[in-house]
Amino acid sequence: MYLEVKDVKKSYGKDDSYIQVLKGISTEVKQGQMCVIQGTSGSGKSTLLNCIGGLDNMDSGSVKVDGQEISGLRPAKLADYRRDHLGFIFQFYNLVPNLTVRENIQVCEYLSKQPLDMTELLETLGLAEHQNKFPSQLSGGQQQRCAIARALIKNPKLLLCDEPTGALDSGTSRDILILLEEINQKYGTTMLIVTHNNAIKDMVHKVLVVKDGLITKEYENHTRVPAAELEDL
Amino acid sequence: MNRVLRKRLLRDLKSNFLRYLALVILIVMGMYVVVSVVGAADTIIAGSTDKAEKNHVEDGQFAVFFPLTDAQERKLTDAGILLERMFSLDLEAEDDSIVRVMKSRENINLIDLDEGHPAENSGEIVLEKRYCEEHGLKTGGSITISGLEFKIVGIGSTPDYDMPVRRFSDMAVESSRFGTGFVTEKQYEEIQKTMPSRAEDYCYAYRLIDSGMTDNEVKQMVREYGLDHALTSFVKKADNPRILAAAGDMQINREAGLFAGVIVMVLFTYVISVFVIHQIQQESSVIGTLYALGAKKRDLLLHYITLPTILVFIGGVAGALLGFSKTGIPTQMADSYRYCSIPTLDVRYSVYLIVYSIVMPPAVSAVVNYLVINRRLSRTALSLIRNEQSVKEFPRTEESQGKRFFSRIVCAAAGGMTGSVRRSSKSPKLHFIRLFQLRQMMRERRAGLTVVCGMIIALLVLMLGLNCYVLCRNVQKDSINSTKFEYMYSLKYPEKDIPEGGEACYAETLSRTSMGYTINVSVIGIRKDNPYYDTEPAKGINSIIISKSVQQKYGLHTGDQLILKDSAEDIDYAFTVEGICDYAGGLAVFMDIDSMRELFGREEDYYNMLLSDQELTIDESRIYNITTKEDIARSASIFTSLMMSLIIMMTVSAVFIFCMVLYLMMGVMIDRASFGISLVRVFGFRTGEIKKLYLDGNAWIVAAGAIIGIPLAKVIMDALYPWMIANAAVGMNLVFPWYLYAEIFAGVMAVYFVINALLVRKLNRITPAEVLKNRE
Repeated sequence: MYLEVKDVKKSYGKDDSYIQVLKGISTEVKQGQMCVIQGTSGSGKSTLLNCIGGLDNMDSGSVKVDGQEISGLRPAKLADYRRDHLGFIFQFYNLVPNLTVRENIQVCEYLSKQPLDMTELLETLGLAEHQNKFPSQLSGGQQQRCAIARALIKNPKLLLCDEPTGALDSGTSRDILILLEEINQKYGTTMLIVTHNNAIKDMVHKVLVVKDGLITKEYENHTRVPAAELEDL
Repeated sequence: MNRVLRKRLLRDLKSNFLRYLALVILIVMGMYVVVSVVGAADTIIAGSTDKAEKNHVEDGQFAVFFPLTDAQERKLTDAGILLERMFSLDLEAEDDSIVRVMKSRENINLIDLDEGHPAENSGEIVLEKRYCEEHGLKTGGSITISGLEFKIVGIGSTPDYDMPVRRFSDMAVESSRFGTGFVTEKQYEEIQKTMPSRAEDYCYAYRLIDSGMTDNEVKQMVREYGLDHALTSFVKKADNPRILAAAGDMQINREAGLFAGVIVMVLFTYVISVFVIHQIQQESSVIGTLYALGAKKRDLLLHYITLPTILVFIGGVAGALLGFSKTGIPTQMADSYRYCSIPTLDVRYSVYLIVYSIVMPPAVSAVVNYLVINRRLSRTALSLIRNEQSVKEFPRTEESQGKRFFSRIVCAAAGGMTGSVRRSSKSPKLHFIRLFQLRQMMRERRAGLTVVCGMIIALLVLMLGLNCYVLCRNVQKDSINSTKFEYMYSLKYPEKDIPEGGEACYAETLSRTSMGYTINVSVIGIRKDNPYYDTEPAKGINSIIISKSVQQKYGLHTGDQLILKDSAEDIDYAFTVEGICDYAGGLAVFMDIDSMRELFGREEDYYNMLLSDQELTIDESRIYNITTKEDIARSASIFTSLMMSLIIMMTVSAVFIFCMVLYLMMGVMIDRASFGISLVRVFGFRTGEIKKLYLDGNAWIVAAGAIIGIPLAKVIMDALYPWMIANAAVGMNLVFPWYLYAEIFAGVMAVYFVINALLVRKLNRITPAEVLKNRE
């Protein structure tokens, strides 16, 4: 298994404000799989993603990525872990405003020892003609493509996406999902996608449904619907 | 990664060009002042010391009542020291100024000519440069002294009159009234012969050269050879206020300049760091994302420190270049040239100062920014992505107030117009505004603190200038008020009978070394019921009444012990302070005249000073010099005019620093509040109301800062001042009239209101659309 999550628990606050967000989550994702984590607001899906990404500390449990245990790692080691293994995509693209598209991607290119080819990536993501534009000159979809390119340039084995289409219209959302699908096929990138969007579940290999801090449903799609054919996005 | 991020630097610079330009100008000016002041100090200290050595400055001098015989002179020179007569006659020029005429020097205290050549024939004279400047005299011109006309063949300076004062105890240089002149030996002898009634000063200068002797051994020799009875003064080079006086003044400038440079740079770089923090807060989610992608804090820290460090470096280098240029060091040296009589010096480019000006600013910037930024970048990736604010950012009182604020706005909106808010009863609205302002102040406490720190630094600079002004004015006022006589005669050979109308006193000049400087203190013996001094010292050879100036200068109180030294005799006198009198005309202490005669082994009716309210008829040959009340008033007023350029420079610098810091910090406060300002614009608030909410609260910060800062700056500067003017033979009356404090406060508030008004334009540039931009 590429990703192994065992009995992960996470809580916030103390006394009256104490809340347990993750109550013991266990799951596995194979290398190259696309996996969707679904759930309502406050169900704990983003917290789970953050724990896997080493952005948040878990109270207990274990997360192994490619055999490496990440719970208990010091901040510097966690930074190395993220640098070597992960790509992140957020709902709001978080691009550096006064760097061009190409420069935004280059920021992360330097973090990797074996980055992907920049030109090829720009072509793949349809950003070649926008590479010298600043984020403010791009549409939402183009900005998200840039954020994806920035995450992918490091050639990460695991791509964590937090509501990647949350801020986009349905047409643009479809384009982004097609892109993610292509990347998965082309580079074999394992993907964890947190989303509210119910339609996405049909295009991925595996679906996790989180409710009240627990996985209430977990299954694999034997037949997947290509992103281009998804309905009700 | 930083290679790419570096591309942002130029873009950041472009988008905030005016702000950074203002900061760079501030740094350039700061470094310019520091480099020029310290560079001038280095040049004068090293240059005048080198020149003095080159011109064989004396190691010491002694004066005697009667000239030494050739045999006595030979005894001294046989011991291995170099000895030269520095005899002089004080003669009057046509404008009643005094020219101390001496023969040209051969071995010691040589003349450093700025122009012309030494006097070679009778009728020729070389004049001291400051005297010439004050009198508009040029080489080739002429001067009439005591009826004798001389052709000016050269203009220069000598190391023994670096500070060209007539007497060691003179408070200030007055080159319009006193100068030196050098004629041939033959000419000097002719003058002696033609004016036999003139009192000649028999002074000898010596150099120890390779004799292996010390000053004290020379003094001992002078005594052993039977000269001690005639010895009137013995002054080592280090104790001679005329020698290397300009260098002595500059010592303080150098140390204070280097220290002030660091303080100013800390302030300016802190101002920059406030901008960087603002930028980090704006880019919080981007930074968090980069962390999430594996970027390390070190990389980002380096990135955010780079621009301020480069800017400070550029500012520092530009300031240093300006400081080292013709408009820098030479300009700062001008005051010394205007006051002291020193040769024209080549500017020194000290290696340490070059390193200091290039390395110190970026180093301070890097350290300050590291300390300030590091904490901001130490938050977790998640916290940065969410742009979470620390709980400290929102004090509990404001939280609840914030709810009330929004509920009020909602109510107003429900009423259909904000006018309902304006029409509501006055006190709740005022209450709300005050609390909102308080919330804004709490949120912007960093910028507020920077404003207060900047204000205190500006006030320190201002106080430096104002203290100087007040001291000069007080010296002038106190000198005039304390001088009740019209004429003071210092006598070389007093008559047995006291001339009618004269009040006989006995004066001795002793000295005290404090803070590295030896300053002369006059001990004046007076009789009971003396009409010219409001004090009646009790009998007793150790009892003295000190003047207010001595009390201020040395911080003495009744019952304290004051030790004064007789350098000529090498005797220390320990006096007990029995009281303090109002006299503030100079550094003087008073004794009962009989007790003083007893202490110094004088005859029962001895006196050497006469005070009078009218001109007395005294044989000219008996007089050392005559000082009138007018002379004292004029001499005391010199300080104010000499220091005026410094006072103006300090005041302008203080206002400039305060304006810049206030403008920049209030500007950044607006930037940081742009979302809130935009939001309240959406709600219908008007510019005046927004200004009240977001800017006017700063009035309290500025007012509170001024109320604390003005007395604080005064206390600090008063404590530093004795150290700063340790070489000045004046009291330390730094008392401000109350209205000066009020004027400073009014000035601070006036600057604030002007800056506040200027910033309204910036406020107007924030549109309701900002809210929409920030939604992402």
